[in-house]
Amino acid sequence: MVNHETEIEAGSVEDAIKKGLEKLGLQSRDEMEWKVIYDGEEGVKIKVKNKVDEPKSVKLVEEEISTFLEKLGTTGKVEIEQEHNRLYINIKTKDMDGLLIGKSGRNLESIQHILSRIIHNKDNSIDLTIDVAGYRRKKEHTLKVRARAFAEEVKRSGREFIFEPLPPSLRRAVHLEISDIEGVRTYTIGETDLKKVVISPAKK
Amino acid sequence: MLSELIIYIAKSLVDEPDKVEVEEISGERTVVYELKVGKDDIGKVIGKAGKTAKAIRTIVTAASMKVGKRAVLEILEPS
Repeated sequence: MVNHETEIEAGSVEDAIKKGLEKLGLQSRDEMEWKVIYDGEEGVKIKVKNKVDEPKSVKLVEEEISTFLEKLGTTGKVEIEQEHNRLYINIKTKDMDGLLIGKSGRNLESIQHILSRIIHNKDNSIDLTIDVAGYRRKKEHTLKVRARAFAEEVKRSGREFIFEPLPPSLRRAVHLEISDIEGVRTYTIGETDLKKVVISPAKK
Repeated sequence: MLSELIIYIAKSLVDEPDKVEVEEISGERTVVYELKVGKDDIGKVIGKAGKTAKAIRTIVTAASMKVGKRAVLEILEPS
């Protein structure tokens, strides 16, 4: 997959960096970021990941999205932000935001799927989150607030809570939001389009 | 206009863009778009569990609402 992030153990930091480059299939250390996690007598451990070439990625994404909008018969503005290892792309069109979002954001998920496939084909180091008029951000926020409330309820009652089916990006948001709450854990059930996140009491 | 959208999406997804063709069959209230791609590329436009095909259809439907004529996308199996 993209934006590989992996941990490397070796005898020295220098060796670990070399191993990391090899593992990620990179030529030069300019293409990699690393952080030393542990450096001791028994060896070192570092975390390595691909560096995102931001100006290049941003340009590619901008071009691809403006072509897409043009083919859809509209124009719009594209805002791009770096968010963790991903590019967050917020599209505001002249007249099509509602159609691009669709009922409960369903059309937005299709656009996310197609645009990330298209852009991956050109540069598979880019991971992106597509939004239209900030819809996804707002929905994600509401979902996180709900997830926290349900987590408290699960802790209190000791019974599992199952979310409605959610697209991958929102499932990720729930997992991350809950991960720092003690006493509960999350997992996913279901297939393809109907995957649901379950909040469950953590095993003692 | 919708054929252009379909051609753009299909060409961006496949390995052999030269083999992408779209035929437009216009009815009174509906336009049918028949998409053909190279034999080895069919999986690229259909995707895992039909996810890509479904996403292309959703986008085409959304764009057709703007134009005001119902659009149907047929992905033809290569012969």
